[in-house]
Amino acid sequence: MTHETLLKFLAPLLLGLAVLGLWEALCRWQDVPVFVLPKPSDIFLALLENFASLMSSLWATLRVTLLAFFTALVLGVALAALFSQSRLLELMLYPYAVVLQVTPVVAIAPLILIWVGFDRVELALLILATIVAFFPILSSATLGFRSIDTNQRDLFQLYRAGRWQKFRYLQFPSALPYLLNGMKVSAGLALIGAVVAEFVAGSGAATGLAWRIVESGNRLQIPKMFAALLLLSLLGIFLFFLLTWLEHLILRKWHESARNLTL
Amino acid sequence: MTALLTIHHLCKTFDNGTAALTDVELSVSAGQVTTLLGASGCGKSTLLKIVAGLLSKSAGQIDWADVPARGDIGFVFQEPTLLPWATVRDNVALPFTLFHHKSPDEAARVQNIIDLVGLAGFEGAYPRELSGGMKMRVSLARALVSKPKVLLMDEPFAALDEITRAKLNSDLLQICAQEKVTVLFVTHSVQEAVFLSDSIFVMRPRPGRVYQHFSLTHAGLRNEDYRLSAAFGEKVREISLSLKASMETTS
Ligand SMILES: Nc1ncnc2c1ncn2[C@@H]1O[C@H](COP(=O)(O)OP(=O)(O)O)[C@@H](O)[C@H]1O
Ligand SMILES: [Mg+2]
Repeated sequence: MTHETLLKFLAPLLLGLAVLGLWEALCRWQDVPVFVLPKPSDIFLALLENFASLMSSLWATLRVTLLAFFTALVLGVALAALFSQSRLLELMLYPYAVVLQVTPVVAIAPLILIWVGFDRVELALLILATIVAFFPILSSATLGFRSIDTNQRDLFQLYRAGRWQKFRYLQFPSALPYLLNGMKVSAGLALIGAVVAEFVAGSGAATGLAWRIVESGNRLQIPKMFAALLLLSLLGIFLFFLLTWLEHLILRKWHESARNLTL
Repeated sequence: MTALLTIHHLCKTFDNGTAALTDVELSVSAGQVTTLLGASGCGKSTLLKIVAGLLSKSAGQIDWADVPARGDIGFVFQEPTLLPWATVRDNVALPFTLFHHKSPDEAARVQNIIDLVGLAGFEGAYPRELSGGMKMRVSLARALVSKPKVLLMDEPFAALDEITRAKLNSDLLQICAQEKVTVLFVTHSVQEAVFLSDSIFVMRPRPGRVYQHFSLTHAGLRNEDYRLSAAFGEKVREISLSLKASMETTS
């Protein structure tokens, strides 16, 4: 680890610790009521006290997020691959994908909930989060499959490569840097989608972190609310790092963007 | 000298109305280096792509001694056009990969051609780790690996520095002699054309057509001394004058 990377991890960490310390000190000094702004120590205690329930909620949210992300990934790449083979299909369907993207998920949540039935809320959450996560995958993969250099196209034509060969050996690898970038955005949106959907549609049998936040808000358990919020942020950060690491792993050998691991 | 390829009355007008070539007449002799020399915009790339079957012609005829099968035409573009995610070995082996057969013979052929272009030891390197000249060597190896009958080269060394370019010119002659491949070469450098070619077609622009043809004979070795010789200088002068005249008589 070089001096530079060490600094990159240490500097934000030190700032975070300083802010936490200041927060704790100010709250104690000013005697801020715990239901207005809990001290970091209160939040930590709430986390420990409700550890089991918060962890099961974390898992519920993570499950919806990951399922939505993978569904969006598969559907988005498949649809983009179809688009790359048929311009007509792309012209027909892309506008509807955009419509789906610009319509706020909150607005379609009640409809989806009615369609899948109130007894299957988890499925509704999955569908809603997938809708949110889908578009970055579709647009980045579509752009990637299309961004082929004319000489490379000529080269493959010269050797009379078939459609599938062109896709397998040229279009797919060319699209990878675009797709991996889209996946980073998509994973974050899948989490946002899962949380927003749970706010709107409620929780099924498994209570997710969003519902914990609503619940503790209603009961004025503000430290617990902060604890749930903290877990949500950590989850988002974890997903982002995971995908950045994946991107680095796949691209580091050949792509300029991945020469150094930049976060 | 048998003609590998003769072109008669070749015309190309693009969809947007640009007349890129009219009435082009030329022939490429087997075993020789034939060069199209001309300023940019006189249809050299268009001609090469039509010969490669990458563009359709508008009129005229292209007669091959043998109709080329898959792999019979090698193409080197102005940019190396390598796959950045593939190693040198995989880039060179691309034609075989696309032909669907992978035999030990072919692995040996890939290694053999990598050695021939002077890249032994770099088989596992990725394109971004190579210099411009080395990338061009990979591109050349890939074009030659399928043992093509004709190698088409579109200003392959134009982006390289003078020293690298001179070195690649002499290496190219050796490689082509060893591989016994016929070359149709495109350049806008008179020095390069004179150094490499047995036959030069000077082209003129708007629309592109052949202005003048030169047959060259090279006495003795073509090395760095040859570049400095009076005979070489005289040829360069003669062909430069022709190129200059071709530009001035533009209709
Ligand atoms: N795809 C195309 N569509 C329309 N015009 C083209 C196309 N490709 C080349 N041209 C035109 O044809 C002429 C010859 O181009 P080109 O063959 O690239 O010349 P050169 O390789 O000698 O520089 C130029 O005027 C160019 O603008
Ligand atoms: Mg050109």
